[in-house]
Amino acid sequence: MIHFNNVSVTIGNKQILKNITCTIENGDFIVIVGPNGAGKSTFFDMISGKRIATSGTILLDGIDITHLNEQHRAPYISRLFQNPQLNGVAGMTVAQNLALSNYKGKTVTLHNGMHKFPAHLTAELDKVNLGSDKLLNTPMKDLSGGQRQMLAFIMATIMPPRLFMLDEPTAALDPQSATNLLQFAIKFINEHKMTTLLITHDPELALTIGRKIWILENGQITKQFDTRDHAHLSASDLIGHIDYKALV
Amino acid sequence: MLFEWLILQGIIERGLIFSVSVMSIYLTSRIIRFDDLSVEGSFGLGGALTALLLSYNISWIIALPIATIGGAIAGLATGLLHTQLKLNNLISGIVVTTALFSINLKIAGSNMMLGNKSTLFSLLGDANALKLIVLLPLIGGLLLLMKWFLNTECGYLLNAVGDNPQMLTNLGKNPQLYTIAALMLGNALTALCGALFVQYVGYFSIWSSVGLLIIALAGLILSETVSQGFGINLLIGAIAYQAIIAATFEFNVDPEWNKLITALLIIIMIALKKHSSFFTQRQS
Repeated sequence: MIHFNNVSVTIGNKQILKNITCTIENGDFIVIVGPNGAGKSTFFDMISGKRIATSGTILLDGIDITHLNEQHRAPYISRLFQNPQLNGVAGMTVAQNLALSNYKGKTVTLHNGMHKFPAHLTAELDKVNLGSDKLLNTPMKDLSGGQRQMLAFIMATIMPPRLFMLDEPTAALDPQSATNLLQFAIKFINEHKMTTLLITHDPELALTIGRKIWILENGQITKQFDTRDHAHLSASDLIGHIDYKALV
Repeated sequence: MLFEWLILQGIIERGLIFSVSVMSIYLTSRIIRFDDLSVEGSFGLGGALTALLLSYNISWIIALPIATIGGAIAGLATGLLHTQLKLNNLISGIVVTTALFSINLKIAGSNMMLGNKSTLFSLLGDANALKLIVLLPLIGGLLLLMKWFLNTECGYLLNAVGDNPQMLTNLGKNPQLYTIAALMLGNALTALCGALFVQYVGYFSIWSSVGLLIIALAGLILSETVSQGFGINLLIGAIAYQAIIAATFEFNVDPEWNKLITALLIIIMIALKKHSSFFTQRQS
């Protein structure tokens, strides 16, 4: 369980997050929606430790992590970035990236770099067509956008985190690749009962996959919906959708 | 015939010695992507410490590691300036190199002859004997050691820090620590190169280190015509550079033009590289 008590983040003279008080229960799957500039990414940055809260406290299972930096929160909190370049090492192969991601929370040694390759994931990799010798030996930069995010998802969950955060993971993907990634991710998250936060601009997606939906506006969580509310919610209750009629 | 062999031998020997600084530049410029100017000072520091220690009749077996550690400390200074004071890459290196110029002068003066002091190359007894016999296993072993290291888990993290420092943070590792470690290793290698060079030529000169970075960079760019990886190509690049400089002597070019020739060589190689990649992209 993560509890935020009156947490604010100020960057320069601007208060981006304003006195946020909320709780993420174990096993929650919360979708966060909100307009551009609402502070969604800063909210993730504050949770991951990339930005330290200016005021307030953050408790992870009762332990105060308010002042822990990103590096020290990494063993508990994993994050999939919207930008695939931040999720892996472009110049290293798929196999090397997988081995590298298994260094998390472990002592780094002078063993061969592939020593910690997660061989137990072979079946998972085969399921998403990343398990062939040819692909394993392909540099990450040569994968398609969809393959890169799929690999990044597997890498981010090799060591099951206490909180998993996905920041618009499908923003740069075509609809088919986005569907493949989300199908795989949701199944994995449900099977492992992983506490998850997901940012999206797609209200349909939020209504489809989110067990809870939080709306972040102007640096504050203004509405919290749970599964019972879904039947009464429409896209326009969240952040609306593209008005195609206005284009013609 | 003998004269030609001696020229060739000199080219290979110098090339092998400078290949150590090419390894250093590969580590900083290509792996952690940090253009480290402090190597100029580290090369001089390695040479100055070696000259001083040998002048006190201290064995080269002790002088070599001390010179190498001196370089590592210079790399530590550059790394701390960059990571703690947030100086940019180039300024951190320039500050350290500038400081080291005075330090090196205080250690060994502007010139220091080794005279008949015992050096690594004294192992051969006859000064004219093939220094290659000492250099080949030493440099070959160093290359293999570095290649092994870059393939270890630590080496993987060095590769990652240059490509995507966020990845290290994602793994709960400190990217700054690995940047500093790579700079220490890079400068240790350059200082070792300086220590070997002083023993090879038999004297220390404060001016030897001027342009070292560009010499190493020229070797690296030449090596990349063979392969982009870390391997024997680095030795080939360093030797090819020495061969080009030696060729200018053959054509009776005034040695004062050496630095200009090196700079032009780098410009030409980079232009060719850009042209060829443009050609490849157009083809694909």
